[in-house]
Amino acid sequence: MTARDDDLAGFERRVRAVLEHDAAGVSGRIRSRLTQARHVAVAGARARRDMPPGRLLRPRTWLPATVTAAAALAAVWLLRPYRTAQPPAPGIVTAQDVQLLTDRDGLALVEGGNGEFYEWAVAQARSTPAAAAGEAGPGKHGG
Amino acid sequence: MDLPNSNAQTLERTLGLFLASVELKAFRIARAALRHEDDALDAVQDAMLHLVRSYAHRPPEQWKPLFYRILENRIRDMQRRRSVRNRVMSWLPFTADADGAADPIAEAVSPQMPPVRRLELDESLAALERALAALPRRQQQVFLLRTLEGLDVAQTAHAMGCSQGSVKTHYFRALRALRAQLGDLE
Repeated sequence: MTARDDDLAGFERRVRAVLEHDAAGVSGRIRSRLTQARHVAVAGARARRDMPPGRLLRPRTWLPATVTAAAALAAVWLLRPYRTAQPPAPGIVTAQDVQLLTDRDGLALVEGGNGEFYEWAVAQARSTPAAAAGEAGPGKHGG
Repeated sequence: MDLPNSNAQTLERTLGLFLASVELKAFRIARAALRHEDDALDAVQDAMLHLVRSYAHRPPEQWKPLFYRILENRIRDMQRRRSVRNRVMSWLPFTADADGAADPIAEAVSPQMPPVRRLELDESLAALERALAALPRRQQQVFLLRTLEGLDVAQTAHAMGCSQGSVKTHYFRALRALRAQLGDLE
């Protein structure tokens, strides 16, 4: 071992002595906090030991998560866009109304007042084909 | 006799004794790295909790390197977070220092030494802390783990997550740098 190594070894011893002095001279506040931390850690070990293995299956464990999920679903349902089928409000014209109003055949049937003719046509269709062919229409028959 | 319960109590007692044996030195090491007492306390407490939660079942002879490995990781995380915080805070027009003035009673050290000798050691310690603070972080941590905590090379390598060769190199460089700065430390 060289003199330089001896020197470093001596220096190392002195450093260690100084550091140990400081470790011994830590303030009361720090010591108290460290003691508390140690007790908390050991108490944590005790709590883990005392925890029953089936804890995860207990409602107390998963109930809060379930309630939160249900609340989130309810919020989504309540805030979703309004799409349910409702009767149109008075004064609102729907596509169905437009289609009825523009249907010419339907209008002619309603406005022509030709219901008598159609009743006769139905009666003829129910009779025999020969009779239907030989008889006159309602204009001739009724004068 | 409840044997499992007895074993658990023995484990708790052993854990408590182990933590009591390392807490002061761990605090010193964390404080040297973080340069802040409350941050150092938080780091030590986190390391204690993590050790108990994750490694209490390991053999007690493995606890010390594991504990210091956890502490080292915690210190590194805190330093990273602090550097980010400092970058953010540097943009703000005020500086927040919520620590306030120290309580002189709480800060009082335990009177176990003649005042003159204590003063000498305090001066040496202040110089040593300045020199330690100037070291690269890994040199600083290796040096403190070896010198203050007394870990051997293999344990220090495990705690630092590096090779034993790196530990030897860091330690020698730290020792040489401190010696160059401090001269004859008394």
